[in-house]
Amino acid sequence: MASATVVAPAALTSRDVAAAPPMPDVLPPVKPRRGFLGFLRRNPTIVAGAGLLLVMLAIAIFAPLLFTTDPTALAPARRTREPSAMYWFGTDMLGRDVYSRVLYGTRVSLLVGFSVALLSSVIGLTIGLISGFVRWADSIIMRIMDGMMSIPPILLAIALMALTRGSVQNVIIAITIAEIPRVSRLVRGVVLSLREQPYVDAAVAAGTRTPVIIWRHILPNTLAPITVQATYICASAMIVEAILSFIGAGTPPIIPSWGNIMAEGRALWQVKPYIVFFPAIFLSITVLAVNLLGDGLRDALDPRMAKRL
Amino acid sequence: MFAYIVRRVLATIPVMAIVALFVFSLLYIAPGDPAAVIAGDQATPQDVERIRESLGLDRPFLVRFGEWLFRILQGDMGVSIFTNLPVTTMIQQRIEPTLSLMVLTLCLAVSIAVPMGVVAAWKQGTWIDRAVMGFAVLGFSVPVFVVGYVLAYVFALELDWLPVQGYTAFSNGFFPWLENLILPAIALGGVYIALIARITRATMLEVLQQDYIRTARAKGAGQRSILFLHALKNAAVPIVTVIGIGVALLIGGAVVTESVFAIPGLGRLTVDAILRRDYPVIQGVILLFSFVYVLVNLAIDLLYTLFDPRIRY
Repeated sequence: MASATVVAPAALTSRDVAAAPPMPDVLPPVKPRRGFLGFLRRNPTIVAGAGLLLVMLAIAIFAPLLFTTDPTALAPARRTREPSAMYWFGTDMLGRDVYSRVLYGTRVSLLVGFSVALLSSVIGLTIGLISGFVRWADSIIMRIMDGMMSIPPILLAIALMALTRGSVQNVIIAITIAEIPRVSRLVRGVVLSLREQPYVDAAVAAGTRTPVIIWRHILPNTLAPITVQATYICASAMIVEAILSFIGAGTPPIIPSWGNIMAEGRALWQVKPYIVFFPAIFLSITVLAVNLLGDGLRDALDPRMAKRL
Repeated sequence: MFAYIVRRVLATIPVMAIVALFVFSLLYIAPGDPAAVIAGDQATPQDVERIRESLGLDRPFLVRFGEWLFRILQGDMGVSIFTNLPVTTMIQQRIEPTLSLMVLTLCLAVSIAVPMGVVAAWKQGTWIDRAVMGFAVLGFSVPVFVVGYVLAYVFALELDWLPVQGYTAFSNGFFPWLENLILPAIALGGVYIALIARITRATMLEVLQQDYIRTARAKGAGQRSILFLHALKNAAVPIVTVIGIGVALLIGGAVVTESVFAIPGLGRLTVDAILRRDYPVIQGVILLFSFVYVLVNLAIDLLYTLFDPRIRY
């Protein structure tokens, strides 16, 4: 994007230079903005994604202050009210305020998304590093990862959830296990290609010990692709969490998560579609925000990958 | 060539063995006591003990795995805890709707996504390209069930063009079958279309810069023949690969789509099994889907040679 304003020297052949009129001296020098603001200016996608995500984060943190009531308070007398000034998003079949439930649901979704992204990155990074450096472990680890990757991630999470009690913590563990193989493979690939780099050879020749090489040369170079991957994992984890809760294999029904709200609204959706649609809109916007952030980070941090997609 | 096919087919055996081992060991990986969870909150200690025995959790892991694998190889996936029917029978009863949905979605998605990606690459930088890329981001962000409910609300409830829910068997005629499946297929196809369109566009952009495309233009080949004959053919390998990998999305999404549209398929079976804590059924479905996924990707590996004769093994 930044290169669009500058003429790439590679595009000029000797003949072009000979034919081109001399450059006027008055052309202002191209001065790319530096610093954090400049970075944001060059990456509007990151700004859009991060901005939306910050709004969602604020909603999650300040949910009690945003005119909500107790999201679990039952009021059988006021069941399935249409959205109104009193109940902004209406009430569900137990008379609970859908607006409050949706706002509190933001907490579950973000907690699961961020936790899974962080945990699977850290564990995947460790496995990927071991696999990239320990020859005999590599083939064993990669065969196991191949097997795990052959099980569709949602099904793997469903199976794990069927064997445990529904809780936010178990949902996070189940989705993390399902996401680990992808990160491990990514890190292993990066490590294997980095090991061939001349500066790593030089470090080896200079007698640098392996842990130091990993810390100083390998780790910093895996950060960019892992950050990008982590945002995508965060987005997919939020969707999987909603799916698990929707089909009854996720967070327990008393916790207001978007998937749970939709699951409860399912029976009534033909007559009271708003119970399903409000959490659906919030979920879609949040996932969109994270995906935009991921696309922006990919373009900014990992130009090679950006070109391929 | 033949030797390659044999080698490639044989190579899937260890992968499937690891899948089986992994699916089997989930019982041991899961935190807590699975027998107590499956038995439920009202279970007596005797119930828990009975389930522990029927799952074989009271015997050594390897012995149990050996027996289980031996029975799987004979086509015996165990018996449902809830209905006492063999899992294979239950799967057979439910397989048609799921297979229909997935095949229809696959055909629909490929025939929409590939032209979309090709046109986006051709018109790179224009509003068409941006619209396709925007659609792709949306496709990744709006979950299957959200698309499903919106489609059902608009086209079935409001406009009344299509049935809201349910499934009609293929033997009752093509059009009734299609009528029931078209909305679920579009909903399920969203992410898949986004994925394929993106890869198609990226690969086509790369291919369109090659010398042979310039040669084709120079000799006067038409735009359509350049795009679909010269370029798409050379972009086929990555596209076909992603079509295969994306089948995992279809499988996962089918579980949800069937819930939204009340389709009595394997996904519905899985969801019912979760609510009843009927683990043998869940295990059977997962094993089946994983094997299908491995076989699809095996088939695609073998297809490479068709698309790219340069690939010699």
